[in-house]
Amino acid sequence: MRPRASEEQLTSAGAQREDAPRPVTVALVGSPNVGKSSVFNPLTGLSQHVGNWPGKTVEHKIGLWRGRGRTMRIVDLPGTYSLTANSVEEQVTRDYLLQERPDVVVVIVNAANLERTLYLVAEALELPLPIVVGLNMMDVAEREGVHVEPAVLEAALGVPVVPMVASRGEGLEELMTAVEGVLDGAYPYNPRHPEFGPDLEVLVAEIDRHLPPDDLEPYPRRWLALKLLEGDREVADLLRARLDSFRWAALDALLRQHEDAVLAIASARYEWIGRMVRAAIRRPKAGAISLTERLDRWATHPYVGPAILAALMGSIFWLVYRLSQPLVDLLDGGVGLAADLVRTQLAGAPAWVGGLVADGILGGVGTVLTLLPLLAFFFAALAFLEDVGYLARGAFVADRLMHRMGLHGKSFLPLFLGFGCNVPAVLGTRILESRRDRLLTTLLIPLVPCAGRMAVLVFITGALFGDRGPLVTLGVLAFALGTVGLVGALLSRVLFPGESPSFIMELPLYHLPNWRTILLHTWRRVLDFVVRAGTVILLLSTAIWTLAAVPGNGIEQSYLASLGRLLAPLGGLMGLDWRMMVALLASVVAKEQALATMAILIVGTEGSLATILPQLLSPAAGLAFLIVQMLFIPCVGTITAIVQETRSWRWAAVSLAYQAGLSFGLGIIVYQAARLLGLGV
Amino acid sequence: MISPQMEEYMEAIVRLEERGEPVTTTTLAQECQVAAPTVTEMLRHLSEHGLISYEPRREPSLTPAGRALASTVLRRHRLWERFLHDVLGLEWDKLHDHACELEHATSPELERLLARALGDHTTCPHGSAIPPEGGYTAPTRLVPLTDLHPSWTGRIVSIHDEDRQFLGAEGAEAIAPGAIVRAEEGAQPGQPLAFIVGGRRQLLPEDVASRITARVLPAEEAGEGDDAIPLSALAPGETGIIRGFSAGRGMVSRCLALGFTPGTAVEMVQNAGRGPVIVLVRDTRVALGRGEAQKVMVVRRGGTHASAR
Repeated sequence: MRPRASEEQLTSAGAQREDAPRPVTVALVGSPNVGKSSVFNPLTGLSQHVGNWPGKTVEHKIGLWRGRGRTMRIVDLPGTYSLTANSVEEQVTRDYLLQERPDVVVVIVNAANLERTLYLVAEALELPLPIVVGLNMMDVAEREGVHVEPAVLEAALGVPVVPMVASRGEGLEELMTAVEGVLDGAYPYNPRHPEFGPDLEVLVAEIDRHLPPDDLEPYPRRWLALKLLEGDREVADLLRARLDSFRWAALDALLRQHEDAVLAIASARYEWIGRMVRAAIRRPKAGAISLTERLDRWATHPYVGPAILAALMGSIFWLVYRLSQPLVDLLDGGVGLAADLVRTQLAGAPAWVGGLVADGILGGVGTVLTLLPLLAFFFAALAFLEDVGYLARGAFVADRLMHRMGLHGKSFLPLFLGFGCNVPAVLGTRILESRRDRLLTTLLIPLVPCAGRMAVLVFITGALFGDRGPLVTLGVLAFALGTVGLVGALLSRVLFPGESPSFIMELPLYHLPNWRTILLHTWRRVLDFVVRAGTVILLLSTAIWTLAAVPGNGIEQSYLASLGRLLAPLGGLMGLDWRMMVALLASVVAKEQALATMAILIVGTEGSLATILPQLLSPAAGLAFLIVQMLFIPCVGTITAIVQETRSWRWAAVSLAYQAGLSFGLGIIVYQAARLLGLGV
Repeated sequence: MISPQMEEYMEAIVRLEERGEPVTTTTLAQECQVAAPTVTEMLRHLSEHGLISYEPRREPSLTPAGRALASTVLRRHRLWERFLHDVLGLEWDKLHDHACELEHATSPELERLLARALGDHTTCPHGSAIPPEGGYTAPTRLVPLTDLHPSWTGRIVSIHDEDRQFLGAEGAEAIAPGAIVRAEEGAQPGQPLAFIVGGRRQLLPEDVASRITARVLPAEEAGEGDDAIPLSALAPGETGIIRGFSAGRGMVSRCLALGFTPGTAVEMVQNAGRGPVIVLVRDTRVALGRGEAQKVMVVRRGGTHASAR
């Protein structure tokens, strides 16, 4: 439980020397849907630095605020409902607060949802840290007919309460003034701590008696006792390590006896909150039907809801492709020009040097670059849906379908994105809370046919099956999607048995999008991808290019071709010769590469791929090839994304291994079955 | 918070109970050497703090929380008497008064050191038993059904799956987490035990009963003998009051943070009979998977909406 992040890592400039005074640090916390990023973004602007918490897949954002002759470090902690370590986000937030001890903690609450968002304030008040409450979304509250009196709330809580409409930039100055007031001691800071009533206090004292008598820094004793009673596993582990086995057994027995004290504690906190807010809230317009209620009648309707979801997703795809295609073409052309330039410049050098730079490296750059517009638009679309509040509704509508695969509704969005491109889909798993859901969804996404594979599918069915092409296309698609479902159902039972996904999700109030937040978010995600995934994709595609070019004399003589010949016996079981196996291997660079490779290997001087293909592949072999290529190992970009999101090569390896096995296995079955049905040559 | 004076009264109540005397305003007034109206005032005060349940003209009774507090104070009192007598050699007639002063200023740690220093004495110098450490009825105590005293009311917390099968469909429906249970008096060794569950009599073999856990309810909650149903059983427009959860730690903790605390009203907004549901809790719309909604136990609240069903 020592700090996982050293001071050095957490310092944005990285230039803080020991003798320099530590800059004042302000931590920003809040539940999801309180508009925390619309506070953080304008305060820090582009000075913010985004990374991951060491060893965690949780975003870590830090930035500098400058004003009135001061500079403060502002740390944006992940959105959490409580400080019990139920999720990585909660763990990160509370570890930071306790171990790094920021100078001031700003808790953002939602005025339209005061009771629930004050829960985090009730928890934060147990910590020995000064608190300032940012009462955000005052405008939304007014619209919902809720009138909040900040001054009354401030008097009740004994800590500064600043009314804000952060999306319009209102209240930010006042918030920082309040922070300064607390820092300088100008504000009569006198916080009220949540009271728990006599029965719980007796119990807390009793638990305290069982704690080690010595100092438990950085943890306050009372906080430890409460978290033990709340069943916090991490705190329990901490104390198990600090106590001898006999004393731990006594404490453990006591905790077991009071297993449902957790209910009493949460109830007591909410009762306390109730007393705090009663005087501060007025609801003159009770009974009015809100905008959210009206929209939700359709958005979550059992029949209309799915239609809306499908229509939204469809138009997002259409928009993304319409908007990104010109950019992709432009970038592609640019890379092509650059490659030509390099070839002429390097005309004097050995042929392989020009090839390596022009095709290998620039080809890799091209892969990364052409992904960017697509990624940017998908990220923006996802951020938009999340910001206006629709994301949760989509998850609700898709929940039943996803449940069959051992997932819940939220996984639908990343999976669906996979139809466009698997890369943003994998990166989109970040919206899922539990590690289990993230992993399972990540393993399923590469099975979803992306646009590249769709291109190959449509081309080959057209060439092989003529008029019946569209029918076969649909059949193969249905087969692939059925496989996604079956594999999901299977993996959830094999890899994560017994863990049923828990689907409890707040449906936030709808509100107008905050473009600044969406754009900043998109910008950061794209930048993040370029910095961390870009180089890996570049290296991998260069490596595969090298395999296809070395030792020279064209791709037929290359190591890649040798590898294809090595796999020929396996291909034989599916009616595929070594050239088709090489095409499959080449598809790992990018799925649509399969066609280009086939063209190089198969087409000589005459005819086109479409005319030659039927002579080479029987319908049975063609079907087998299509099935394999739909389910084959992910492309370089997706592999890199998996590594980036799971923070390990292990799950990428699992993905490679199971998809190779699955695709070949199904390919063989389909080929043999089709032959029995008389579809062979 | 709790004043020394309040602690004195709590102690006095257990003392009377211990001697088998009725706990009335009169006896309490004698025990505490005050006038009866003062006692009435104090009883109301204690009741407000959840330490006793008390209605005028009825015998006050300790809540589990109150009993916990009272027996801790009594334990400290008698430990001090032991110490003052054995170690300091204080005269008999002065023991009680000094102990009365000291008991309120004793921290849990001091209490433990005191007990250790004295060795394991089980009685005070007057011969009364020293309540054991932690040996009280705690606020949120879990007991097997076999230990459920006939005067207590419990809420079933957990039951083993194998036993559920043994109970059969009808029994399993009644004896489910969230159900209110009372034990019948006059149990015979070797005979099945009789319980009133959800208003109906159920016979359970001793070994099965020993594997069912119930929470002993504080007196103020025990009066409501109504049946808990899963949240998923509410129709749109109906409201339920949360009673508890039949779920694992992680889910309970998440529910609590989102405001699903026992006693809170939840309105069903959308429930298609299958798939996830939407509820309104503390002014927030929350979507729950069907499985999750089945694990939140509520009591249906009669209202204009419910009667329309």
